[in-house]
Amino acid sequence: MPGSSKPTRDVIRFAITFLVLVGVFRWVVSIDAIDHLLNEPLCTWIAQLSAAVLTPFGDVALRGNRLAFDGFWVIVVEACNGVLPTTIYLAAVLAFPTTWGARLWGVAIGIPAIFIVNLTRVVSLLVLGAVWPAVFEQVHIYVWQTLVVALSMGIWIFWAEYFVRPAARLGAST
Amino acid sequence: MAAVYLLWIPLREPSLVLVARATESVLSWVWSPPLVTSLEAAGEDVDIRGILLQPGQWMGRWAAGNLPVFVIASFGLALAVPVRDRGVRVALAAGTLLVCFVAMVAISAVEVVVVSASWADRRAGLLLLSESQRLFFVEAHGAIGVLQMLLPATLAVLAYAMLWAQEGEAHEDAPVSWRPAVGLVLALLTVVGVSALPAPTPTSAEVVARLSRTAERNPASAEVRLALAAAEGRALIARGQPCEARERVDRALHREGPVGGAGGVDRVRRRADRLCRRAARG
Repeated sequence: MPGSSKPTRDVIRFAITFLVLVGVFRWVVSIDAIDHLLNEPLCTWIAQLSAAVLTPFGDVALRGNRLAFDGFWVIVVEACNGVLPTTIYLAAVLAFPTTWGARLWGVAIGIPAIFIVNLTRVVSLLVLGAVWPAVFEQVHIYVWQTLVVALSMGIWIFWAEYFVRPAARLGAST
Repeated sequence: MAAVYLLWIPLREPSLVLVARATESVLSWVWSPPLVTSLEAAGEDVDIRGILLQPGQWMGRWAAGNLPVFVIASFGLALAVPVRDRGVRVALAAGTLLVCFVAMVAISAVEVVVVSASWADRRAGLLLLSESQRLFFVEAHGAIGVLQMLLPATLAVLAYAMLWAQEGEAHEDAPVSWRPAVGLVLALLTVVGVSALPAPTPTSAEVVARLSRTAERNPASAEVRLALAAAEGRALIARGQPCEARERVDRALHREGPVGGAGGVDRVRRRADRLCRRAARG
């Protein structure tokens, strides 16, 4: 019965730790002081970076976290700053039974990678909105929401395959 | 993921009908008193009908178009992990569908309450929720975005961890264990089967009880008091007391004055009067 084996117990322990860490991270991020320190500046920074990327390709306007490309305006809000997929990714990295060295690698590669994914999302949506506004909402909701989750998990699997597998195996060592 | 999306397209509308049905039942548990009485899936929208000021009254429309996004992401990610054991694969697929269905119903219930409460506020300045309920639904509504991202991620990391667990066990020729798969498939079929059952229509007495609570929450609303009087009139007619029903409605009309025929009060009055006269003649 697999339910009684050590690897299965490890999976259950991993799942519980993962969910608890997600809860803790969400709570921390929801604290007002953290919100002011993290979410608001991050939204503004993403808007600034997106503006810098798009400037060579058209007319860009920037006002705080509001950004326009060729007359198409967007507001970079909390849901667009990539904090949620990053906290989920970090919870998965920290909960996975491996060495602290491997976990540090996970943090080091994951945070910038998810940031780049999110920046790509904002830039591509802005271009799409300017060029083809009719499909903006569909791509915003249907395509990128799914892609951000899939790519974040893809980065996690990449980390697990290339940084964790050589160091430890689930059920063999923790 | 693209394959899962293509498979999902023909299932989109039937699944929304099923989710709407299940939500009707769930609302009677999570929302007291439940003023929504039926949900009708129409394309990618859900029309909300209730008993606030008229029986079967339209109480808003929830655009459920982005509901499948996390289902597709969850299913695609969970199945993309190359788990060898067929039993684990089937269990993973059934478990994913089960969890996604429950999550869809939970999201739908929260959205329907939020949309109908907002509609009542805009339409007639009415409060449908107590303060604690309002706070709960605000929190729950905020958590939907997190859930839609967390669920696919959780299923993906779990599927991947299971893959590693299998490798850790290193049983190349171990027999396939079907017990969890069969259990999850049965659980899925049971949940879907129960969800397909229509929610019970509220009795006249239940409608009166629900509107009484709403009237208590909105003491300044003559519309709700008239709707309550009309509901009480209907309940009295159903109990075979049309003259008492007419008296009850007359009292309310005298006290409140004509307020746009709230609750179909005029119709109830006419019907009660007709039945009362017939009873007097008979």
